[in-house]
Amino acid sequence: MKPRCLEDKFLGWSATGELLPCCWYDNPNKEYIKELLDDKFKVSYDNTVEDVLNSKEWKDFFDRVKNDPDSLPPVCHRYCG
Amino acid sequence: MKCAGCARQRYTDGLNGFEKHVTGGPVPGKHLSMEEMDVISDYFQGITFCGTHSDPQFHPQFHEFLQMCVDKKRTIQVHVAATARKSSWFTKAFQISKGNDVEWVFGIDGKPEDSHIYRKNQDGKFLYNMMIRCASMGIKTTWHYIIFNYNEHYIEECARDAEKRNISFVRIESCRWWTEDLLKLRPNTSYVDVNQLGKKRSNSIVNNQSRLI
Repeated sequence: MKPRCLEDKFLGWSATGELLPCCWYDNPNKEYIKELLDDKFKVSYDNTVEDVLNSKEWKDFFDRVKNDPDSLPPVCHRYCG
Repeated sequence: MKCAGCARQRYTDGLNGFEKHVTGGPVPGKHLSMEEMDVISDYFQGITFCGTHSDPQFHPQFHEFLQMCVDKKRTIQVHVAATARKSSWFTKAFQISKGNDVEWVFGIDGKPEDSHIYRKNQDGKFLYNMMIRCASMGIKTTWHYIIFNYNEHYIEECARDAEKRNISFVRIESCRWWTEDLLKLRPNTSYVDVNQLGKKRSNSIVNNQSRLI
């Protein structure tokens, strides 16, 4: 895989106002990344993008991207596989 | 707009395995706030306004967003296909873009008068004129052209027109042949990998160089 979220920090923003690992995740089926969509990850002046990306949940996701790509959802393999 | 292959239609019509999420509409979403845009543009060096489920021009503060990103010296892309705004709205946006690192990408599939066949409710001639205006102001301008059966014979003509106007021309070989409405528009098989329908990603070709999208 060549994950653009890791290599280029090419992240996405959903129509409903959430930071996403990638714009391709902005579809009706976000169950694969529901741990990244918690209200505590709403971006604001008091909760910057850096704060969100430094959270345990986001770090765990990027760790999977790096070290366990087989566990990633189909959308990752489709667009960065 | 109601383009049959757009992500928006996943909510209302059900496409590509998303049927269980069909709600009959409306498409969920909200306007990005000025605070969110400020925080996002502080962090990211590059910003793409692509409106996955909509179009950037529908945001009431788009000009302010664009100005904010320009002021922060960001690399910006703006993708548009809708024609909901007046000519003056586009001109104002182009004036903000001019002389800065901003690329405008126009989704016009075929000759301007035919583009609405796929891009339902688009005024293709109007958008084409906006694209020409953008390029004539010296702004980096790109024409995205998805290949369908109604436009496959005009690719070279449109590519020449784009080159003449200093517009980059990107032809897109789609993989989104998921529904009857889309299949009716499917081009000649030379533009379709029939073994990979609905499985692979779409393919964009710029100056004969291919890139998966």
